[in-house]
Amino acid sequence: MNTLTEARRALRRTWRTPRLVLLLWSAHLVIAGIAFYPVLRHLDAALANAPAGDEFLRRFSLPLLSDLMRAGGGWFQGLGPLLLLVAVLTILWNPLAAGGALESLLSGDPSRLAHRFGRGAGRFFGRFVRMGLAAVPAALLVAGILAGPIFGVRASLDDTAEGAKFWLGLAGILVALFAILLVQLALDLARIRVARDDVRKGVRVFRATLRAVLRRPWQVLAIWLPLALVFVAISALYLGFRGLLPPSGGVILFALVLAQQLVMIARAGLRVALWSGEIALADRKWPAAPLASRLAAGART
Amino acid sequence: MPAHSLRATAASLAFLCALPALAAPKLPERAATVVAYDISVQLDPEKKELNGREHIVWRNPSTDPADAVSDLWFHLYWNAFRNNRSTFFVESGGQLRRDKAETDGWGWTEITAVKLATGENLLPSLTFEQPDDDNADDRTVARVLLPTPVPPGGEIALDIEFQTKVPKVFARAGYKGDFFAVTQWFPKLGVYEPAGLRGREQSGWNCHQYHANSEYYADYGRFKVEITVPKRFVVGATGPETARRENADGTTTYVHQQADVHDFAWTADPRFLEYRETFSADRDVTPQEYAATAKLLDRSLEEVKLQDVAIRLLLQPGHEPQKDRHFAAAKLALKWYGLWYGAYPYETLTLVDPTPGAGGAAGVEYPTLFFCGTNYLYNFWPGKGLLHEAEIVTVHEFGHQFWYGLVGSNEFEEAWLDEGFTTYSTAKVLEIGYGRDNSIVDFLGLELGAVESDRMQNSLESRRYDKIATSAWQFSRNQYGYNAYARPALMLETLEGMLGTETMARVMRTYHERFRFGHPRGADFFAVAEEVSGQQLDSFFAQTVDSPGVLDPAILDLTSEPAPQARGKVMVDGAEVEIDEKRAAELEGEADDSESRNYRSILQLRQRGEMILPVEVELLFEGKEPERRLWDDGQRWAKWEFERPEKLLEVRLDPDGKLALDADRLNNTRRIEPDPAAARKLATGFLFWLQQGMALLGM
Repeated sequence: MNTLTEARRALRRTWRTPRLVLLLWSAHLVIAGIAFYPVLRHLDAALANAPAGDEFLRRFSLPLLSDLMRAGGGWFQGLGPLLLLVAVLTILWNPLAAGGALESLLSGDPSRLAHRFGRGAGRFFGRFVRMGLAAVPAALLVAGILAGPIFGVRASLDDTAEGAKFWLGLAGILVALFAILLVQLALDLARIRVARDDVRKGVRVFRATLRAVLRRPWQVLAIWLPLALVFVAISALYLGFRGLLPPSGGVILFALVLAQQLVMIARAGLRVALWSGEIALADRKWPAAPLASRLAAGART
Repeated sequence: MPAHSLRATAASLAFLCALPALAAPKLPERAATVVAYDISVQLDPEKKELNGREHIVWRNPSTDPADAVSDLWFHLYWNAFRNNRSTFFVESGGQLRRDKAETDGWGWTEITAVKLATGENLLPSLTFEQPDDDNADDRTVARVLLPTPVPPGGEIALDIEFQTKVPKVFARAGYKGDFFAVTQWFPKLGVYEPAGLRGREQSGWNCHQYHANSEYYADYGRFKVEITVPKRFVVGATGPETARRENADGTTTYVHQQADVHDFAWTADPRFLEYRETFSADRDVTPQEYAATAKLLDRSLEEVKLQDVAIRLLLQPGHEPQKDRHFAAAKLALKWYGLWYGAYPYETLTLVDPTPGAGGAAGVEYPTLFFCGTNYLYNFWPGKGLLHEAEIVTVHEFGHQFWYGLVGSNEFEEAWLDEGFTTYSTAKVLEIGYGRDNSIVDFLGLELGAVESDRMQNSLESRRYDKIATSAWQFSRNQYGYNAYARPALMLETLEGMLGTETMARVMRTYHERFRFGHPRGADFFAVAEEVSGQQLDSFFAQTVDSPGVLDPAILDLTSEPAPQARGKVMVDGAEVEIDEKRAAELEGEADDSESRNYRSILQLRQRGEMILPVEVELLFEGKEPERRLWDDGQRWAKWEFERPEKLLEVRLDPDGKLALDADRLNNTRRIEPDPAAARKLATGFLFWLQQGMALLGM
């Protein structure tokens, strides 16, 4: 099937699940709010009565930020743990979101989204966490295998081969990121198979899926790449829009915030589209086994 | 010829002869030569060794008849790399300027012979001195005794033979593969300072050990240096190449000569790509720029006229795309430093791009030659890119041709006079070339100017304990860089803010003119600043240079409320009447109705730092033009009260940002009515990027 057709279908399926998209977006917004609200309060206290702070309306001023951080003293040091908390919650939310989203996308159950999402989140959380934990060393291993030789060659070069060292370093980083991407896509596919077939041995499915993805990476990349390009286009549109806005508060600021959140909603939509595309790929590549076989394989009903 | 014509001719000649005296250029054309070096050196690139001999003629610069000199003091800088017991190594811990010394990279200088021109051997009298720290393991200063003292104005000639092991590149000098940065490499005389020079009470040698954070100080003189290297090497050196000989043994000898300089450096690398361009005093500077500068400085056009300079760029292969960036930055610097402070007086300027991995040699200055700082990455970021790193280093190191080269301050004792002045001047040149707000960073809306970059180092807590006027090796941990570079630059910016651009330009020009080829100290600059500005600046310099501490004027509180009616027994129209609470409220209501009630505004100011400088205060009353007042009572805090019909809406301290030393500008402004727009924009931007990060975690 044509790559663009695949992407279009995935986007169309996403368009039909707006509530799922909004749920994913709003969940991230709520978690981010844990850090955002104290920051907003602090900045309001520090800048609302300080006209010097209006410079931030015109540009992101590093020296002013430096003054702000200095004036905040220990407050900004406290932001570190807060950000860490947000990161931990995000990491914990990811398997819940994946379970809920996949159950919503895969299930033909006509019940409400919240019901399906909650059911999937709860049912698959443990399995998805274990699969996620297995994916970390796998990502390091694949990145090491693919990028390691590049960094090795780079290290063996003399400093005078500056250009070669630069390009090899860049290539190494890109290859490592590519490897991590492949593992993440394999994790997605594996989670889809586990959710669709309700398989208990998630880690085993992940390993098998990763092997398959590494053997034919373009199959899953063909789904990811068009969606990534859409995201790049959306980001470029946002940056262009931001550049057009005059330095002002009020409606202009509201428009900016609206644009930012639309970008984030679009990003959540693209995530759902990716899952939709991956579900179609999984169905083609690993058709669902008959119920009897799944029962024999230890799946729950 | 008729008699009257002869007389007229004679009169004209007399007038013409008098002209140079009347319109004598303020810039000295030549240095008073104290020392002349005639050096011959051979590089063995395989053994990483230099074998050299030098013929030195030194003149006792003293004019005091009793001031005969009976010894000579030399710098042997490369003995800093002799072992890990040297003062340099002990202080640096083997790490300096983001560079780390390699354990197999030792270097040293051995003096193998010291003879007078008469043949008398002085080597037995050679001792190593440690004037700064009594570290007996330090051999960076040597002293030889003279059999006969050199009388004031008298000369002595001696011949020295020396062998050096070139260190692996670290801290300004050394080799990396076939790249050699041969700097501070020969036995070099210290400065004999007669009483009175730089405030010195007794005559004597000024010859400090080589410290981790110190650089150099030497006397002006003439250099003729013959450098012999294998034929494959490309050589760059101080001054113009005056001769070249191909030798039978496969080597080439390059002869470079330069007068009126206090050091000589050279470099060699077979990989150097050589490019040449000329800075043209006519093509690269417009008549308007000459005229504007002459007016700014109150000098004649002749005085600000520049001269052509042959620029030579020795670039590493792979850096070719940066060729034009280096030339453009060098020309920009030649133009503006020259216009502002006085023409660059030498024929040549050599820019050297160190080999990759030789970062220790990058960003270092020597007379008519300096080492740039760049890398392959900058091939892809032309002038208006993310970072102007290549330009910044070039403009800064060129600046040292003026502040270090032409004005020979003592970098050991007063590093700020060269680094601080250069940082200040660099910011000015970069602003002209690349913009005030974005001369350092300019990428996707992220901007940073040179002065702002200096300001960002000015944090309250860590900057309270050292003062600018400190010898380079006597700063507390991690304070040298700030106090030698950024803080003096901010001090000069602040001084400019107080004196005005024009006066400051004349202060800097006069200081340069007066001390070109001289050895000034900070007090000399203070005196020039007071003389040219006509202002008493001793308190300013005492606080900013001679004392630790920070400057941080701040608004403590601002209120502006309707003024309360007087209560109790008060005088009304010449009679004392009693106004109770009810009557007072009635009167206040009447005043409100007739809009005649005044506002009582109270502004409280505080100097949060140790420094107290005059601060301009801008008051914005409702419906009025901003008013300016000066807070200059010298107190640490102030309370200003106003009772006026207008509400005081907003107050700004230092509204024009003249006090560059101000550690925190956010507390300089206050308004009565809050406006959350900036806070919300910043906070929602934070939220957006946080969400992006979270999305990345979950793909």
